[in-house]
Amino acid sequence: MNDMVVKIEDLYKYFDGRCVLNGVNLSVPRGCIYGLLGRNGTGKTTIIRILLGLEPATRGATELLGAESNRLTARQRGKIGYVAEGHHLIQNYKVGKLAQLCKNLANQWDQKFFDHLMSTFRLPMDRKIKKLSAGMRAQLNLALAMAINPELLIMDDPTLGLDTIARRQFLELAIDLIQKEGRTILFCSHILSDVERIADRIGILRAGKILVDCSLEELKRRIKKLRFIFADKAPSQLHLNEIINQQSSGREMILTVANWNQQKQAFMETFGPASCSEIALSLEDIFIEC
Amino acid sequence: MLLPLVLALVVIALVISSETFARSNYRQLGVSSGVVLSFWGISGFLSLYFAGIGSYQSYTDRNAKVSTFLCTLATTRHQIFAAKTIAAVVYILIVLILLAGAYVILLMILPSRPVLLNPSGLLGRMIFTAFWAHLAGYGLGLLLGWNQGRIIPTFGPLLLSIVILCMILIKGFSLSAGVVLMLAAAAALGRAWQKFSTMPLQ
Amino acid sequence: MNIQNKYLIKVLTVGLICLLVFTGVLFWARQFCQFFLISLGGMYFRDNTDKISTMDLLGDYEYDPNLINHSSVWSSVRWRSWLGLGISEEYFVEIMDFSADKNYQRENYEAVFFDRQTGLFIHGNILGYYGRRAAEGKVSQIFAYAGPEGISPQPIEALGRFSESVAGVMREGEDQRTVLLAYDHKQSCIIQIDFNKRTVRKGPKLPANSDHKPVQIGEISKYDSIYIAWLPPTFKAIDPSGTAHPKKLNYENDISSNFYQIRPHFLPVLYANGEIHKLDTEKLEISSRLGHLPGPKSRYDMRQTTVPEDLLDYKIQPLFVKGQYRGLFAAGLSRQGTRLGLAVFDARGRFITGNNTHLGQQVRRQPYGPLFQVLEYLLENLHPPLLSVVSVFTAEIFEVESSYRAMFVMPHSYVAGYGAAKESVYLRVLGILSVMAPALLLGFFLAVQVARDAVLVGFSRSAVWWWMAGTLAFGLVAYITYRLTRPTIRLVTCGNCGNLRRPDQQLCHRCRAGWEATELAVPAWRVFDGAATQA
Repeated sequence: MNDMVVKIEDLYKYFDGRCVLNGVNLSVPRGCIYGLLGRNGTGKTTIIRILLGLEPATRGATELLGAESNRLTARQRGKIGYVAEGHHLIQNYKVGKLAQLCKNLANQWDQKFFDHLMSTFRLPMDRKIKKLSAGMRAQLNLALAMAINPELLIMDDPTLGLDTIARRQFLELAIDLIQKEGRTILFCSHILSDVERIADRIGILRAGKILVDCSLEELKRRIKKLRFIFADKAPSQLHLNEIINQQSSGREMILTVANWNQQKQAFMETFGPASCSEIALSLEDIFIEC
Repeated sequence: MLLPLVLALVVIALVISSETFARSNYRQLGVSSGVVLSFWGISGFLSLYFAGIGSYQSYTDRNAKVSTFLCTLATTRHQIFAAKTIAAVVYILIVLILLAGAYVILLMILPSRPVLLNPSGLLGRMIFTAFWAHLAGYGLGLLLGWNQGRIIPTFGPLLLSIVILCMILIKGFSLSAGVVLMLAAAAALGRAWQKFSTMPLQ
Repeated sequence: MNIQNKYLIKVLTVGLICLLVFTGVLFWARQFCQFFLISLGGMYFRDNTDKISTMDLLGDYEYDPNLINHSSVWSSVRWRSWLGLGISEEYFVEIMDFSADKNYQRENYEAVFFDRQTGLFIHGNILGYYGRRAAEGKVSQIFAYAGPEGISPQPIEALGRFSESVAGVMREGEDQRTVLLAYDHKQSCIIQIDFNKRTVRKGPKLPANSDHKPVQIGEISKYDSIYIAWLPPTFKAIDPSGTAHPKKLNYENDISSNFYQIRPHFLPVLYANGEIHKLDTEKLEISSRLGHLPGPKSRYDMRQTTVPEDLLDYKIQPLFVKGQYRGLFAAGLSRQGTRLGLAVFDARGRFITGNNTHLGQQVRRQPYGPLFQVLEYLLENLHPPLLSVVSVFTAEIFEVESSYRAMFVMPHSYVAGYGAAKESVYLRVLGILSVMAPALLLGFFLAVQVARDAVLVGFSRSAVWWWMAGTLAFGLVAYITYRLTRPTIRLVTCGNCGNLRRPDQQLCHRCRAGWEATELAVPAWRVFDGAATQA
């Protein structure tokens, strides 16, 4: 896992004078499942669109599979699978015709795998795309993206519109894909339980900047939610760095801190808390705290 | 492919009817020149037609996000644009060749002077000029069809195509008109390519 | 291809489209003005030259004691058919074969015409012809094909082929049969074709230099828009009652000033160098000089000949008195259609007198005339200044007919008139600048606007200069191009100088500062791989 499949350097994007991406730096190593998180409007889709060359960056550089995003050749594009938010497919085409189009344009096409997916998802080949439900379009989009056997799979909220069973199937597919050597997944999702289940690395966007870019374990290790009970009233002002969240109520203080270390621990001990206990955080909890 | 056949039939119908209803020798004055005028008129109409095709392609592409989808497959924007342009060129050539064929056949079967078949290479010049006029119209349609709204994609290419066609009125089916129209086509397609290759695809 | 190159492509392509559309629109607007200037004044309104006395031609008649008025000649211009657009020229010349020298009507439906495809003259019955110019219609019967080597009912190879011919007709014999006299450029000789006798006769080889290449034979006229009128002398006549009243010399019996009447005896030939000679129809060779086409340039010099290509229209008319050739009248219309020259030559081809009239007086007397002329002048000043300047140098190079179809340069504009002027260079430049003053002022104004906006938008200094130069050169076209290609990116405030700057450029175009200052608040914490980092 030495080379970077996705590389973003000092990426800035402005829309109508408003800075949406403010110096984003990100790298996704080969073979990794990277979950990119952020609230609505933080720029996740924008990053993906810039990576795929659908949107020009204002400043900065982005690379996919070693090539600049706006200079990807057809062959390189053929190695990238994309499942889009909203699932933009050619609405007037029938499913079979669209599949044929994708097959004709693909560098490689696994017809057997595609047929297996179509039968798993129970998608009709002779129905027009616009007649499919949102969930069925999502499944079709996924099947088309998987059938080309991509080196890099980029998914923007791929399970949007999928029912629970379909979501589970998708996750298993993603895991199957990643088992293949050298495959990489970059995906955004609001269903953090799914992300927590499969992602190796996490990135969190806020206010146009990357706040978190590390492995999931590292993230859980470095963000701590601690409950302090003090003998007297909890201190109102804490001159402690990297406080994510602080809530005080009488003698109790609940503190969420990033990069918890011995120095911070020693600092808190100077206030003489009566007790200190850690509250376990899931990814969703961390995300909400952020 | 049906359209060129229909057009050829229309030309034949116009000419035959003008001969059928002729009442005096003076009526026959317009027979073979009528064929030429029909060719000119149809060429003019075709330029607007191809402008409409280009505009429709771009408009539909923008609304249905076709190119957005295609760009996520193993294709580049340049290939998508080249495919559109090549298809348009082939379509234009087929239409013109069919039209020219109808023109030649009609003039051969109609009682007119043989000189009209190809006076000074007129047929070749007409095809050359008409080809570039049609391609320029298509390019303008491609360019303006991406605009938001409906007014510009609908009327913009038509109005600009009419202005471009006026060049034929001014200079006739001459080599200079053909060259100017070639430049117009190159400019329209060049700008459409530049716009398509740099614009955000929604 | 980097962003700069793509922007350059954008500017060039949009600029070219704007230029084509804009010059096209201006062309039609100018045509509209000219159409009103001509047509509202009456379809056949005429501009006349002054009358010139031709007493030197008639000699003894002009010294009659009963003479009241001497003879005189004047010319006028009728409907400006040369305003025909390319498409109409193509239709009438290519399709309808309107050129006069290609169709020689005999009588009723019998005609002789030149078939370009076969390269032969064809004598046949043509039904449905339109006037004497058209040969369009049904060729119901072909009697004979004639080539330089012979004449035959079939277009056989042995007839030879005319390469590029010029022909005229004359009528011979009591039956007034049509005899064709053609000059073939390849053969360089006059060839007489008699369709009735089925004979072809060749004359001696003529000099092959380009100056002495016949352009027209017989009826010497380009577009037939010039009219030459000759007024015979008037005499005092005493009627039987003893009353004196004016009487003109008998026009029909004594005077012949109409080409058709004297065709059997007289066939002029116009050379490419503007000289007019007589064709000896017996020997089939060029004989005496009759005169030359007048050159009605802005600096009048009637002795100066001019070439047919340089004139918008021309016409010659011979004068016969009692069967004797007395002289020739030649009229020529200048390129721009603004000057009409008339020249008189005696029987020996010597220049006698002439005049040069500036046309358009009648238009200027109309209430709307000056308005449309001013409008036309203003429209010319909307044209790209650079192309207007090019018009000055190219006006004389254009072939006359195609100059009326020019879109990008204006060979007939007010400023192009200085191209042919004889003044000194300095006066010419001053004249050009004064005529182009509105264009230059507009260009300067627009250049300033463009420069100001370009600086605001974040163009580099060199780009601003290029835009200014382009706007000065191309005026409104460049301005429209700039507005269409101007970057639409919203500017943000520079943290260093406080001015607006482009977010897609690394350096501020004003203070050259980078992006050290961030736009949004720095987060309080970050979690990255490796050591714990602090924001």
